[in-house]
Order: sequence, then C-alpha cells, then structure tokens
Amino acid sequence: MTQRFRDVLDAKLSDLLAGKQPDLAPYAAGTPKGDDLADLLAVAARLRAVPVPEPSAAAVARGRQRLMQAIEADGKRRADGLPGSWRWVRPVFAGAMAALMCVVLVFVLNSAAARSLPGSPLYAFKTVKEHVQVWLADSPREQADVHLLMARRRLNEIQAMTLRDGAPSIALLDTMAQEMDAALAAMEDVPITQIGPLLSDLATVARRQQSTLLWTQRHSPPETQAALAQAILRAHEIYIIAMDAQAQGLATVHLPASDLAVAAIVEFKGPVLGDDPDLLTVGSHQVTLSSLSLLDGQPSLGSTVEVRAARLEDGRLVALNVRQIAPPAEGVWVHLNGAITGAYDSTWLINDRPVVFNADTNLVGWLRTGATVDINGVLRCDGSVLAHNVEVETSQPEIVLTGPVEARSADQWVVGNVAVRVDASTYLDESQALAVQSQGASVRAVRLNDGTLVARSITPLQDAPPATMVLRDIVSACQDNIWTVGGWTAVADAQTEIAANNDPVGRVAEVSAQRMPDGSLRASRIVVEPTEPADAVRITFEGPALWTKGVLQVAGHVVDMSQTSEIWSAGQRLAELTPAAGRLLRVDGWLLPDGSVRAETVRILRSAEATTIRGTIAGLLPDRLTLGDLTVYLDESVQVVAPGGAMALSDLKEGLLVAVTGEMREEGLVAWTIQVGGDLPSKEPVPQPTNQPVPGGDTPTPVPLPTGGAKPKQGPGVPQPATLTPTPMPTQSPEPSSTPEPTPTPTPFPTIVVNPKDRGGEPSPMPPMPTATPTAEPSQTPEPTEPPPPGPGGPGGPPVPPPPGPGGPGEPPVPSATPSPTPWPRVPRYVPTRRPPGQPMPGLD
Amino acid sequence: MGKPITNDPSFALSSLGENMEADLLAQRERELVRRAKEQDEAAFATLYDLHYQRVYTYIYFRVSDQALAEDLAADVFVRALQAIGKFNYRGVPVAAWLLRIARNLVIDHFRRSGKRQTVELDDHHPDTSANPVSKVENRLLREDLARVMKHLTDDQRDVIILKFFQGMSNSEVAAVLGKPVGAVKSLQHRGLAALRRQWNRGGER
Repeated sequence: MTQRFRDVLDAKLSDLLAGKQPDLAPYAAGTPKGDDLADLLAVAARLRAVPVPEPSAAAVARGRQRLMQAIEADGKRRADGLPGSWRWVRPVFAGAMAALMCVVLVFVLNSAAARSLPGSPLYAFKTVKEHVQVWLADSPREQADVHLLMARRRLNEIQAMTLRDGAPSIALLDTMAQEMDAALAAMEDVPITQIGPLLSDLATVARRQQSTLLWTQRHSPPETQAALAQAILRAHEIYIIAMDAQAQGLATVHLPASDLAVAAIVEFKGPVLGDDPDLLTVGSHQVTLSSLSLLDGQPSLGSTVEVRAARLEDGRLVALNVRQIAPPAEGVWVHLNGAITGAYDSTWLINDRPVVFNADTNLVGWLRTGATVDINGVLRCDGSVLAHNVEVETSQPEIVLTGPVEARSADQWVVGNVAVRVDASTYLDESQALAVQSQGASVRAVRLNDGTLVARSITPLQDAPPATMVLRDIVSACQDNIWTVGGWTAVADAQTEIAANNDPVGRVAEVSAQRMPDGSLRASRIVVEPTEPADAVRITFEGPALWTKGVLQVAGHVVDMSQTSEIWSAGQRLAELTPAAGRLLRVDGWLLPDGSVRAETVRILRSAEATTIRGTIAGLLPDRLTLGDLTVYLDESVQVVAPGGAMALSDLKEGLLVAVTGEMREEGLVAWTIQVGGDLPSKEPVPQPTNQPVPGGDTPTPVPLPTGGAKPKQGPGVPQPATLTPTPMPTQSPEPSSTPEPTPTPTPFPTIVVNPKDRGGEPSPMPPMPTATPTAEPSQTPEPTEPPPPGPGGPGGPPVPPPPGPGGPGEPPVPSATPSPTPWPRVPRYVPTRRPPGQPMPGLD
Repeated sequence: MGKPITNDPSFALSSLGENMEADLLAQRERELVRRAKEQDEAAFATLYDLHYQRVYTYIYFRVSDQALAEDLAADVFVRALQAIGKFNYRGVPVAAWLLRIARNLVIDHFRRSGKRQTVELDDHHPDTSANPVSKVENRLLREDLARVMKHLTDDQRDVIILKFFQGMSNSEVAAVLGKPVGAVKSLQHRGLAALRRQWNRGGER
C-alpha cells in the first residue's frame, strides 16, 4: 500500500529530531516527491538551528511566587465557606441560576447575533457560539461540516461588509481560509465511505467563494486587490482538488502548497492563435496552462475562448478557467512552434498538426523530421494550417554509427571502435535485439563541443554488421580526396560516389563511410547539398520534359540542372539527363523569383503511352505543327525519320503526310517521332471534332479539343512554348478563398493557315461525302464537348476554315506501297454542339 | 519494589530499560497530580519547576514577546491550579494539559488585544553564549523565525512549535490540540511547506 507523503515525512522528521540523518526512501532523489521531501527536511533542520529561548531566573521566581500566593488564597477561600449543612446549598443554587441565565442569554443573543458583522458587539457572541460548535463536534466528519459552515459564514460576512463599507475585511479573508484549511485537515481522517458528500460540499463552497470573491474584487478598492486575488486563487485550488478527488474516488484531500504570488485575477476573451501544450496564446496574451487550469470545451487553435487567469507578481498569466465560446474560425492567422513529427506528400506535421506549403510559403532552413520550426500561417477549415512563413530552427547534426558492439556499460558503449556516452536521455530500443545479447548496434549520436559523442538512441542488432558511419555536417576541407566533415576525416577513392557540383567547402554534405580496422573512414558516398538560393521557395512538381535549344522545361518552368545532385530513373542513378522524348519528370528543387527552378533532384517517372496520329501537316511553326485541328508540340528531342534517313525538324514542310508518334495530352500531342512518307503506320484517325454520326459507326464519342490551356506567349516572331502556372503542392483540402490560384485563361489559337491554296483566295469546295461503307478503322468519332475557342477575331470573327480532307485540300491521297488504306471519312466543318445533327452547314453541298 | 520515587526532577533511571523509565515517569506524574489536587504546595511547585520552561517556550514562540510570555506562562499555572480539580489523569502527560491551557490563554490574549502575529519581537533573552556574535546570530534567527511563522495558521504554528521546539510526539501534540494524530501530521506537513514558501520568498535575512 502506498504510504502517504505526510506519513513518510513524519517518519523522516522523527529520525531528524532523534539526531539521525534521514534518507529519502521510498522516494528517489531527483523525483518531485524526493525533492519535496528533501526540501521539507531542510526546513526542519533549519528550525532545529533556532535556539530555544530561556526565561530569566527572575521571571521563574516571580511566577513561582504568584503560584504559591494563589495556592494560599485558594486555601483561604475554601476555608471561608457557608457554615454547616448550608454549605452545599450555595453552589447548587448558584449553579442553577447561572444555567438559567445562560439559557435566556443565549436565546436572546443568538437570534440577534446571527447577522452581526465584525465590529458589532454581538459579533463576539457569534464567535463564541461557533467555537462551542467546533468543540462539540466529535468526529472528523462533524468537524469538517462545522468548519465548512464557518467558511460559508465568513464568505457571507465578506460580501455584507463589501456592500456596507465598500471594502472587504482582509482579516475575514484570512479567517475564511483558515476555516477551509481546518475543514480539509478534518477531512483527512474521514472514512472513505463518508467522504463523498464532504467533497461535494467542499467543491460547492470553493466554487461559491470564487464567484463571490470575483464580485467582491470588482467592487473593492485597489489596496485589497492582491489579498482578494490570492483568496480567489486559493478557492480555485481547493475546488480543483475537490473535483479531482471526487473524480478519482480518493479518500483524502491533499491540498498542495501553492507557490503562486498572485497580483490580480484577470478575465479576457480572444482567439486562440497558438496552442503549445503548456502555453496558450489568446489574442495578445500568453497564458500558461497548469494543473490549476480548468478547460471547458476544446480551446483549439482558431477558436474563441474566454479566459480567467491569475496574473502573478512577475507578470505571467496562469490560466484558471478557459472556456471555448466559439469554434475555430477559418482564415485566422495563427502561430505554431514545434517539432516536425512527420510528413506525407507535401504536407508536414508540426506537433501532429498538418501544415501545408504552397508556392507563396516563405521557407528558411531545411525541413526534416525532428527539426523544430516556427510557423505563421492561416488556419483552414479542416484544421490544417497553410504556412506563410516557416523558419526551421537549427539542430545539432547527428551521426549514425552501425557496427559490432565491442564494449558496453551503464554509461558507455563502444560500437564499431567508436565510444559513445550513454546518459539519462539515451533511448535504448530493444525492438530488434536484446541489449545484453546483441552482437551489433545502430547508434544515433550527437557530438558535443569537446568532441564527446552522446548517444540519442541505441538499437541493438542481433548480428554484428560492418562498422559504418553516416554523418551530415559542414565540409571544412576537401583536398586530395581527403574530406573533413564535421570534425571527421574521410578518404574518398575511386569507388566513392561523390555528388558535388561546386566547391564543397563551407557547404553541408552527407557522408556515408566505412570504418576501417585502423580507425580511418573510407567514404562510400558523399553528397554535397547545394546552398539554398536566396528568396527561393521549395518546390516539387511533375510534367513532360520539353527541350528547347538545350534548355529543359517541365510544366512550364525552365529547369536549371547545373546543381542537380541526383538524377534517377527506374531506381538507377544517372550521370546526366539527356534529351529524350516522352519523358515525364518529377523535379524537386527551388523555385526562384524569376520563375525558373533550380533542380536538386530529377526523377524520370515513366515514359508515356505512345499514340500515333497520321495526317498532313497543315500548319508549321518552330515548336509545333497542326494535323487538322490537332496541335502537335515539337522540341529538339523529336526525331524526324524519312525513307531516305533522318531529317531535321527544319526540313518539315506543310502538306507533308506524316505519322506522328507521341504522348496525347490534354493540350495536344507531344511528339516523340515524326515519320515522313514511306510506310506510315496506320493508327488512329484524326479525331473528328463533330457531332455528326460516322456512317456505319456508333454515336460519336467526344474527344477533348485543345481548350486553350496552352498560353503561347507572344514573342517577337518566336512564339514561346506553352507555359503553365506553377502547380501548387498537392493539398488535402481546397485552398481558402483568400489565396486564389491563378486560373489559366483560354486564349485564341494562333492563326494557322491550313490550306495553302486558301491563302488570300477562295475556299475550295469540300470533297463529296463517301458512301456509307463499313471501314476497318475504328468508327468511334468523338463529339466536341465544348465549343471551340473563338476565331482569331473573337467570337464574331471569321470562322476557322474547315479542316482539310484526308489527302489535303483538293489533293489526292498520297499513294503508298501498301494496299490503299481505307479513305478517311470526310471531316466536315466543325460546328458548335448546339447545332442539331443532320442540318447541313451553310455553304456545304 | 525497586528504588523509592523521589521528587528530584533530575533523578536518573539510566540503569533501567526505557519502558520501565517511561512507566516510572508516568507513575510519578500521576502521583504529583493526585497530590496537587489535594492542594499540596510541594506537588504544585514540582509541577511548576518541571514544566515552566516548556510552557514559556511555547508561549514565547506564539507571542514573540519575552515579558508577555513570562507573565502568561505564570498565568498558565495559576489557571491550572484553578482547574486541577477537574483534571483527570488518563495517561496523557500533564505537559499536554498545561500546554492546552497555555494555548487557550494565548488565544484569549489575542482576542482581548485585537492583535495577531504582528507583535514585534522583543528579544532580551539571557543568552548563555559568551560570544557576542553568537548572541546576535541567535537573535536574528529568532527574528527570522518570527517573521515567517506569522504566515502560518494557528494550528500549523502550534504543531511546529510543539514538535520542533518542545520535542513532543504526535500523540502528545494531538492531545494538546484536541485533534487526531493524522491531522497533526498534515498540519506539520503544511506548516513546513508554508515555512519553505516564506523562506524562499524572503530569502535569507
């Protein structure tokens, strides 16, 4: 059975008073109870050092003489009594009269004194009566009841005096506190079966004291505020203790010693702008949460709360009551400070709260799990925070050692010939092997200024792996393949993978090394991290790779790979990224103010699915061409193949029949290869942007036409490739309306002349419709899902000329060696969807 | 049986066991009380000599006034004389009874005078130490104690005085205060905690 603290203290005090040196058992030094016990024993020792006063000899003699005189006088009085048989009458008669008078007096005074206040002549009688009540209380329970009753009366008197005099009596506050203490003392000896109602009474009295004293505080002069604040705090403490005891079913109520020096009790409201575990930021106030704090509701980040707090003498606020009066409001600016506890996709967890980053986030420092960050941002409806400013606090670089365990003791392990100190903060993770039986271990350690390694965690391993070390720190020197990183020296050789684009000295590098038998480190991999560019934002995005004059563009961003440290493809590391068609890349790097991206890591995700489209080049520009209504995007990676050999892009001409293979995307076809003439592959027909049914076919299925997501920049004669706005980090919830993302606006297509003969001339008549003949070609023709973008002149401008026929406008089909392909079905002029099917277009036969 | 009981307070029974010593002391005390109830001057004088120091010490730490403490201590024995007829020796030490009287006297004094623990320390104790530095140190120690003790409740103060300056046991203190032993332990705990708080706030003097 657990000993009560007071009993342990009493036993130790007995030892101290007996001249012994008490220990702290059963508590340990450094624990709260151990420290508390040690402190109190020190106080007791200090008391013992106070010399006991001795009375003067003269005073002793005087007292003795008085006593002797009193004895003599008492003897004389006894001798002077009533004669004979009447001697007994006087005391009996006197006693009876006295009793009768007392009864009458008590009856008269009792009713008059009940409402008396200090200063009234009847108040003394009231006090005497209460003392009698206390004296008459036999059991601890009765004593507790009486003292609680006295406390209630003192509270009433305080309130009455405040109303009458405008100020409470400080002496009454003290008396009330003493009655509560006396009640608590009595309750400690009440049997557990009777304690419940007493705890309820105690809580009720304490609660009433709080509310009455708060009222009193508002109506009292300044000189009484401090005493009232202390009394309110005391009542609050008692209330909490009573409620805790009730909740836990405790048999005793132990009132802790409060060390708070309260200057005032304050109340205020405001939004919760920061919710650290022990500190609440409400509006402009920082309020400490402690065991005294009663929380009503869930005062979470962004919610509006009402706070009652004790302002201490040093200005700090300690929350007494916190009540949520409004739920979290979206769009509130909040502040977070905490550790990164995890990450997924592009969301980081700060103290397990999701924090989302976007292109507007200002980031200072390197994000990694375990680092501490300071964040200002906006609270979103799902409880996550959209980060606006993020600052990563620097943390100590860690070293990871793995290797055989050469020695172990309570305060030191030697792993892979490296000694690490073990202290109370070291976490021993035995999930992989028991510490006492393990052959090897993996240690995470930090290096102190004096070079000592202190283990943060040790994971014992069943087997003894080779001795290795991984560290990340600043490169202080790099010469002749000898790298000095964070005070460690590692030697690089021909097998060492080194990723460093510039001078590594002064930059952070991660070194993976093997510890050799002679104690030296042989680096197996060294990755030098590029310096953070100024005014840059961390970004990760994906998109097709487009090469233009040696410059890589992905998703509209020019990508600078001069400092790219890692290029990956299918799990393999590449030395460089060569232009090749059809690649979908993921770029991880820094978005610079000019919109370009300095890539740190580039990863080839996959090659897209190939689509081949055959048609005649209707329009041609340096970076694109059109096949009918289809835009085909070109870059330097496109291979042009002709029967006579390879061709250059510049050799393409309008009117050429080509087969283009590439990736079909929403904005068009991204070309990989263009085959000119020869054996053109027979693949999918040109998409039919019509709602006319194909003869013999099913109802046409719409295919998305270029909707204008491409936004060609109007440059001087050199159209810029389509650019997309920076894709924000994937988020879990919609962006708040206060930070709208730029919406790409549709722009008209550039003017493309699809019929050379129509340049400045009359449009040629359309070829006749072929007869309804089942074709081997897939009969699915898409219907347009939305009207085409307006013509160059706008919606009211001239219509786009009709697409050419399969063999080009007015030209016969290109002969081929293979059996004549099924003639392309007629591609009528594109019409808006609202035109009913079957109705001929004006001008068509 | 054994040696006769004497009236000499310094009679030593070191040759006997502790239990026997306690029994003999209790027996002697009972005898004194019986004789005092019969108005035996010598018995009363013996009780006075045995307990005056203890009563004085308690009252001094309560009132912090030497002259007042001396007077009140003498009053305690006069009052004890008046109440001896009602006192029944039930094994509770006479000291406890006397200290209870002293406690009530102090309460009555404060009630009459309207003061609490605000009496300035008047320390002219005949310090047996010949070293003047020690005399000053002792005075300062008592002043410091008086300063912090006034922040205790009356019950806490009584427990501290009776336990640490009178050397009374928990049961004896409980008898003086009329409270259970458990309450005495709690008061002791809270009293020490309150002293710690005051000393931490005020610092060393």
